Amino acid sequence: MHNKPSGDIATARVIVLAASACETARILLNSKSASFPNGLANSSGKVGRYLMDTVGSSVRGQVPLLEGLPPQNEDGASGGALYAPWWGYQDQQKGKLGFARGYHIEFGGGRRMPEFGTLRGLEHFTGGSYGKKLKQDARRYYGSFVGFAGRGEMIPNENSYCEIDPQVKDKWGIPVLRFHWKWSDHETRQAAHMQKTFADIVEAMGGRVTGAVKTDGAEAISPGGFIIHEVGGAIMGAERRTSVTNQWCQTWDVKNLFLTDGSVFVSNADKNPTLTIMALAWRAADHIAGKMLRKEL
Amino acid sequence: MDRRTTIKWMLAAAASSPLLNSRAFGQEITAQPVATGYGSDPDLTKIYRPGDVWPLTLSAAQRRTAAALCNVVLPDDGHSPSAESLGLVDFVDEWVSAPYPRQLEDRPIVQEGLAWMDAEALLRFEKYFAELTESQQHEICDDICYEPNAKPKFARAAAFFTRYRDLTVGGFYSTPAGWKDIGYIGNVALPKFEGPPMELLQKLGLGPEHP
Repeated sequence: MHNKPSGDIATARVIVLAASACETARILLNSKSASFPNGLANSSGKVGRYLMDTVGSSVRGQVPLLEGLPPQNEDGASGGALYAPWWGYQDQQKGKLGFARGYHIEFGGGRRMPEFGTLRGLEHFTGGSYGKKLKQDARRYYGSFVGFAGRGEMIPNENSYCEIDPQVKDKWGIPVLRFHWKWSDHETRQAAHMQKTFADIVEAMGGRVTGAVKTDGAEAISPGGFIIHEVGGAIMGAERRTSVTNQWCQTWDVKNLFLTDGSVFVSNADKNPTLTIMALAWRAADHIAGKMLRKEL
Repeated sequence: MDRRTTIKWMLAAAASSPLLNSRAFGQEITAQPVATGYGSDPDLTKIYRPGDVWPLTLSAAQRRTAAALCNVVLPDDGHSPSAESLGLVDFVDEWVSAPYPRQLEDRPIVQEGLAWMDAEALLRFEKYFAELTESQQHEICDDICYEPNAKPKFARAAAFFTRYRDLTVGGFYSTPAGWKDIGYIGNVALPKFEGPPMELLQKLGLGPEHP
């Protein structure tokens, strides 16, 4: 390890790099040398490739049945109490959905702590009331809104990646990343499926959707990076030609370099990545400890 | 030239022009202050007051109109106090004076809108908006309170009213008095949780028929 400002070089038996997916790719790509002209541990050319985020889309609705209910403490009664895992496997097997992989639903609603935007847009229900009528309307509608957010799996593709920007540098003079992004049909169709599903639920509750239901998946899906579950960029795999690390998060090219963040993910399952990152890091740590004890590292 | 004369002069200049509903009152807008915000970490041990982190920029006249409009949007109704009495004018002033993108976008909308309210009040009743009777104020607001129904000549004023109502409502219902009015009773420790009240379950058709 070379500290540029001080010129110090640190050495170690094992280096574990976990700078978060994109930053890990950036450090590797910027670490060029005679031995690694395309960046450290990048003989495969796959560093920076297969970036992923989570598929996200949401729908909100107003439900008359929930108007004017007796006030009670409903803090924590939303996402903490309800969760719908993916249920569409059978339809998928029959080829009915047009996309692979799935998503879960997160719920919101109830008399949560009112904040700045809680009653924004009420005029679409009240016809633009103000004054004493608006105060009555606020009492009536508060707590009658429900929200559904889908969080789904993204499959890695060739068009979503980062690379070193040839021009832009950060304030320390180190080149930054530039990003390329494209969803595949698997993701956009999943987002359209979320919209339809959530709208159906709102209507089944006797409510109506606030805003438009987006039938075009490309419009329905949150932009890449928006759900901030960025993973990939140094994927693990069974072959050194097509991946950056082996199954132990150990880089193929540099035996004592391990990557233990989201960069090694080969897919981005619908759940938040943190626990999987921790599990993989734990597994890699056990592997490193064993190897070190046996003097194999 | 006093302010009333200025506005009348501007009105006369714009009277037969479609500019009446556009940036005709741009002259009212004060220069953008240079402010940097409080950074990523405000001092959590300090009690910030309006104007502490960036200067408030609405003029006394603008604040008078803003106060009148706050009270038209959310008046004292015997159930909860008026928006003005909760300090919503300071909130609006601080909002439109803030150096952040969302607030910078709202700044000209609010300043132009307040100028429009006074110009329209002078046009219809020869008085500033704050000096009008409640029914006179409502006569103007009824024309701009719902964008889909507003006549084209009121489109810009209606967009302002929507934004101003959202600001007032957003500020009002995030205060303890607003919470109380609306029936938010959370953010307190519960000694024990006994499930949803029977009354609520029955209203939703989930409780036993004869408790």
